[in-house]
Amino acid sequence: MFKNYLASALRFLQRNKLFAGINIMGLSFALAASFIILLFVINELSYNTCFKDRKQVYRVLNYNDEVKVTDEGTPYILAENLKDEFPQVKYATSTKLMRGFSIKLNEEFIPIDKVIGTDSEIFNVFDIVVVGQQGYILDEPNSIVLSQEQAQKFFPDKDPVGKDLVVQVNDKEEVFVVKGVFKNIPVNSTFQADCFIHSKWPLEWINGRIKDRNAETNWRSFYWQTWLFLDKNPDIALLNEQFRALEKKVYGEEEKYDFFLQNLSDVYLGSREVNSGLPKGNRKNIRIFSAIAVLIIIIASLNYIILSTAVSTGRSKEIGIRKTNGANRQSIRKQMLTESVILSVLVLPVALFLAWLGKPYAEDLFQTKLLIFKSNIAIYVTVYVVLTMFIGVVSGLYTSSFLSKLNVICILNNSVRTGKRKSRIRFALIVVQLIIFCSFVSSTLIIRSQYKFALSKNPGYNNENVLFVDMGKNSPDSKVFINNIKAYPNIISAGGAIDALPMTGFWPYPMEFPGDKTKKVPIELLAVDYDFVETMGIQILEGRSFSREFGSDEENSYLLNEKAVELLGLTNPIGKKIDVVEGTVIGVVKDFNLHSFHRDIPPLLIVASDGFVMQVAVHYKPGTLVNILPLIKAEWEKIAPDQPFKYKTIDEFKKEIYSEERNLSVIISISSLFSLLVASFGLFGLTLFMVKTQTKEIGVKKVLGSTERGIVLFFLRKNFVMVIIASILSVPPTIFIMNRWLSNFSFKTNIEWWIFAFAFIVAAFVVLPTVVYHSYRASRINPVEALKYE
Amino acid sequence: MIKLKNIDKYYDAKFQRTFILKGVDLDVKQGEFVTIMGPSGAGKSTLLNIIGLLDEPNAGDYYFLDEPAHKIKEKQKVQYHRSHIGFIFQAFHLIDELNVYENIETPLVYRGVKGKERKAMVADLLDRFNMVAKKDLFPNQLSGGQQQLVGIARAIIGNPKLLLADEPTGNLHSEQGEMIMRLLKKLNEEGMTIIQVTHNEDFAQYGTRIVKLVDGLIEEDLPVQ
Repeated sequence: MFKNYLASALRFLQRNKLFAGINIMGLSFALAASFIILLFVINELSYNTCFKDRKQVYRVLNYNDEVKVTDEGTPYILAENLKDEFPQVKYATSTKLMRGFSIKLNEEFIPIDKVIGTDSEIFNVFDIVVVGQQGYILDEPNSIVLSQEQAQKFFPDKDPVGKDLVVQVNDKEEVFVVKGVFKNIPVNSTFQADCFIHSKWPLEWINGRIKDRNAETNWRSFYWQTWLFLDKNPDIALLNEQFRALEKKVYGEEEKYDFFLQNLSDVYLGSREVNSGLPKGNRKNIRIFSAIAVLIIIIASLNYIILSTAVSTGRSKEIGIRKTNGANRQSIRKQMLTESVILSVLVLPVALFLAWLGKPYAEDLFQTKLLIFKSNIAIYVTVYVVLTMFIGVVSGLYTSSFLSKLNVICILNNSVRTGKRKSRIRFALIVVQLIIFCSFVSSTLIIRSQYKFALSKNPGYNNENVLFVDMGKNSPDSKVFINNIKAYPNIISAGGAIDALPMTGFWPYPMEFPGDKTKKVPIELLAVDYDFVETMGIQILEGRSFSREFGSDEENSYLLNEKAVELLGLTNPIGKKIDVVEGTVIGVVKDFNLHSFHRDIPPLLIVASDGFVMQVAVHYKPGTLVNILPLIKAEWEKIAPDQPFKYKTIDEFKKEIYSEERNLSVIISISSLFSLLVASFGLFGLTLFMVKTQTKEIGVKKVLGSTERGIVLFFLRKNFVMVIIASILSVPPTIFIMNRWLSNFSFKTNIEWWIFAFAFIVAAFVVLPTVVYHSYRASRINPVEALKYE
Repeated sequence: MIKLKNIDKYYDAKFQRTFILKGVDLDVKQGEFVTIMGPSGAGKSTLLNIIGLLDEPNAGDYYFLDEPAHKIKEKQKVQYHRSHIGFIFQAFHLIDELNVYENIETPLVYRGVKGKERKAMVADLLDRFNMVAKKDLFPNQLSGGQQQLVGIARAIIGNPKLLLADEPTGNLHSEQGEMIMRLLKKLNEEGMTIIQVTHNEDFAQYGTRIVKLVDGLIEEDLPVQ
């Protein structure tokens, strides 16, 4: 039976090459696009699935109530404490990323990226497979456990276990012994390591750098990540209770550190608000991209349905015959379903090929490598095949139920007309396609205009002709550098600060409310030098800015912004003492956008300090960028000859900050192009078909005296109505979705009406010419020819 | 075998009821070869469709093999189509996408006959119709007469009790037409009940009985001399 279906399906496709071609093209384009998007989505969702017992692995997070920030930093002592006192904790370990660690190879120290200071428990918490010796391999201070990749690098094709390595750690040379080799951790894991060393080394580093010299036992030294392996089905509520008790014990009643647990499965996608150095995914993006993939697929399936029901009139005879030969509805339905599934399966390799071609461009767009993970291959294959079959089944379902219902006598009497009801459904389907298309177009425009808005809106400081030089580290040379470059006539001024504007990091500080020591309010800090405020053109409303003339500004003078004045409830703030480190407010600056437009303007305290200059802002005369760059570079080489000269203009920086918006707008505009392509395939086929089936009608009309123009107009009117309905119906969902998207911004543009008008015009421009072309050709036919059809 | 009692078939237009068949009574016994004749629009095809269970009468009783056919369900109708009734059409109605062999095979497929058995049955029939050489051709590669041969082959492959032919020679020139009629006569002689609709007086003579239908009424019902 199957063979019989297959033969007639394939031969039908062969006979209707144009429709088959349009169908296959539309479907394969749509599938290719959604394959790429799904590759991204699957990869994102697959994070940390490489750890089998992930349901039992937890990270301890730390919420500071005073500054309202969640941080992954926990004290070193916590892990040990939890293991001893929390019965549900089976294993616990602290980890810390170690910087400045290198291993000697052939007389040269090679820096290693991801060096984790920890202890042997790490191998119990994460199922990292260790080759060779197991157990307590990190217990001795000079132990090191290498990843396979690193082992291969330092001991090519040899067994490294037991061998010595000369390393540089904490600016000293040491000899380490390789105690084991672990299998490389998959890329789709948030926890990454090139090698593990004993936690002694990071502790030593902390104690050397920071004044609290007992990082091993200090409960306020939040430098470590704590990872736990809990019993099966842990009682999280009970653990939280135990945490509250522990906090009370070690911090007393007053302090507000809340420890809580985050499951390993949530570490990648659920850490948006967590201050963490581990890679983070973006759940919102995943949602947006999946939605786009779904929409594209809907468009393609609608296309399939529209075309196949339209073409099916050509099949109706076959169906009638099959029915008189003993086919029941079921078997017809089965046949049609088989056909559409076969068609979609035929499309699969084409789609895969297209996806493969498109992958590099997509990587550009997503700003990420679209890797094909071996561990995910089963998922890719299942998802792709299921999706393809799904399209086949769904689009086959309608077609088949429609065709199987056809009345045999009507068919065999050749009286099947493209009935009113049927064409109405097709009309509706095309309208749905156009709605999706119009929504894509208007969403693109809205995202674009928000992007443009974010780039051009005045943030309250110099928005152009500013560049930032990245100092790399804080060094006393920065003062020299700033003074040197200020001397050039094309440079209006230069000043340093802890970060470039708009600031991407944030440093909230719990500040005592004036007059009420028990109440603390979060306020953000910005450390600048004497010239930064002036260089950035930040407006002073009251009082004065920092000035060298007063000599003491660096110790105890503060600027507040308006928000901070309001928050602290100060009237006449100038001269008021505030309690940060005992100081006086010397001025109030106008509110400016410290961060990107995503965030509100926070209450801000600006302090003067030469000690935190990480970025130097340079304000230059318009149009002189090319002239001053070599000069600044020359000055840079004077103070830091061995450091690379890194800079960005404020324009580049803003583009970087809003790159997610830009990429999204590109992705959606590509999707809209794409839906346009697929929809116009469908429209092309359908109009062609409509014109074909209405040849007789056209002939009759012409005999009755209709002009060619009249016939073209008839077709045009029908399609025009469709475009109008679609563009009107696309407005509410677009506004709804885009408003939600815009709510990511504290400062946003309005959704303008012309955006929808534009979408309408674009849709009309695509739809109408197709229709005019076909209907014009049809209108030219000789009525005698047309009527001979019967 | 077939018993029509007072069959009405009509269409309701806005204020008017148009009768296609009115009070038709017809008895057909097993082994008969009935020819239905009449002018265009007399209701011949409609009558045939009702007998073939493709259409339903608006009123009246129809017994097919002593079963009340006006009461049977869609599912059972399909069963009848599979095993008891074969159709031949004026326009042949072969499936364009299938070749001769596959076209003839189709009813067997729906009857769930196994592949091997199917092959034997089709080969048998091809042999009998002298079409073995043409089994891989598609309908559009055949002459009208050959197409109708395939049509008949397909109609009888399932060994139906009743063969319904709606102007089987209408699209053929006389020579081919005669060939088809001879074949039908032979089938009838082998025991198959046949009801055909035709305009052709000569071809009507091949049957055993002629029913004349005018404006939905049976005007004449005579055996062939």
